[in-house]
Amino acid sequence: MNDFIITLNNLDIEFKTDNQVIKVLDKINLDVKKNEFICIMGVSGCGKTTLLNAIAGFIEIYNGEILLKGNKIEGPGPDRAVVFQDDAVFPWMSVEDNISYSHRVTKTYNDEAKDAVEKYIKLVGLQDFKKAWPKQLSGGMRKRVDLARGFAAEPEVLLMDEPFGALDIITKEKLQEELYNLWVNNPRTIIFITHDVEEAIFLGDRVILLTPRPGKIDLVIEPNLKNNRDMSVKSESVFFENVKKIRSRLKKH
Amino acid sequence: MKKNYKYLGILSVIITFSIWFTITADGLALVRPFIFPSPRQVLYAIINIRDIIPLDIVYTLTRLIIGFSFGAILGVIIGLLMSYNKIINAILDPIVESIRPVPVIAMIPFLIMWFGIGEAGKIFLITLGVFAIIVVSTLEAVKNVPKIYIRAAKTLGASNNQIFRTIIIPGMLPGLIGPLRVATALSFTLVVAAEFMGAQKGIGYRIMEARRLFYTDVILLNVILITILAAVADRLVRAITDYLTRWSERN
Repeated sequence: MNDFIITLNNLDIEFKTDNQVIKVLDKINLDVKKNEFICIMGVSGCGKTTLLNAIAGFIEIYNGEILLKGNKIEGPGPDRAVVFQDDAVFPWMSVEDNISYSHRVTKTYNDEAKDAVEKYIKLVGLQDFKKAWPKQLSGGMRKRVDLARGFAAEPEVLLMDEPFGALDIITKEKLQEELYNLWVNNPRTIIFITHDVEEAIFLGDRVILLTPRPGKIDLVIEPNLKNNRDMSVKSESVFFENVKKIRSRLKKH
Repeated sequence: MKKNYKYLGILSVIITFSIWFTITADGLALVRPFIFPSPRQVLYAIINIRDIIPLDIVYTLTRLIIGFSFGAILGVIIGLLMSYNKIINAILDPIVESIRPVPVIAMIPFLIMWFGIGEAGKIFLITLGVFAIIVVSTLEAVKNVPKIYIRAAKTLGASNNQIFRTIIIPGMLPGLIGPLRVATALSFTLVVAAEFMGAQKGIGYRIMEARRLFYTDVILLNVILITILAAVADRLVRAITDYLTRWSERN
């Protein structure tokens, strides 16, 4: 049919309260290519998290459709793993058991999967903490467990809902670099929600800006930053140009 | 600082014992030994009944452990079933809610009528009391498992059964520690009450027998005995639950 991993067709989402209907998302159309890194941003309450939850299968859609490789999605599933903003690392499982969780519950924890889990533990720098409980780790390290767990699940698309939103700025930038490298070396389709302009531009192949509620696609930019980038790219003019484009549009919101 | 507090604790124990010694001292006669036996009398009581103490402890603890285990296991199973299935919950909730506030000790006359004064009635009393605490606590503990873990497990491919096994059950454990300790303490009250209603052996029976014979030193000795057992049991429950939740921030 097509090569898109995720397709949103005229997606509308409404929430009904006792006496009114609130339109949250309005006619969202989006095609996400394989291994593309999409950042969706907008002001608070614009519906970006709702959009992610709809793709994850947590909420019912009102109109339109969400396709995963051409098939309508139904409920949550391991083809769309989510990394949440809040700490969702299971505290009663070791680091290793967290990262291998998806393979263990889907009964696919074979030798190959074991090697992959091992690889992701190393890639996020937690090889010395394999058997540690999450409570023994810092907030940044727990976030790394969460990222590794998402990658290790090998989903068709990895959904991230402001995963670094609760971290301090130093840890946050470090993790942005780590996530970028993780993605470059282990290509995967990622839809990443954020309200941080710089984060979106640093990470995204495409940055999609939503209007305030009801969320419509307002602006799509492709930052076209150089490959193998690190935080120093944030002081280059091409980075500023992109930031400016979004900032000037955000002023109107 | 911590050390000082520990010394304070030891000091308060010493003071309490001193008061006991003083008010029951022969020469002072502030309290009649019959009303409140002196430490020396309790010591003699140990020597006098040393042959029957171990068997009483065995009987009492056996009833308690069996009753507690039935109540706790049944409470957790029923609580889990009720939280797992809405239909089961709808059927059982009114029953659980209506037996929960019943002071189980008030049921003793019925239990004697139904089970006689054999072991079944005593064990049933403890089971009932423990069950009422644990079933409600299990429901609450399951509700308090953060939803984000359930959502995360779903997006990682876990089925409902797997979520139950790998998320709900471990996640609810910290919420059950307090109730398990309360239930343990309650079982000691209940086992003594059950033995009051008629038994051939056991600490509660020994207290009743001593009351009839006016052996207040034996009564006090057995009260001290059951208190020590209850304290040890509480430590044991804490040690076991702390081990099971060693991953938790609370440890």
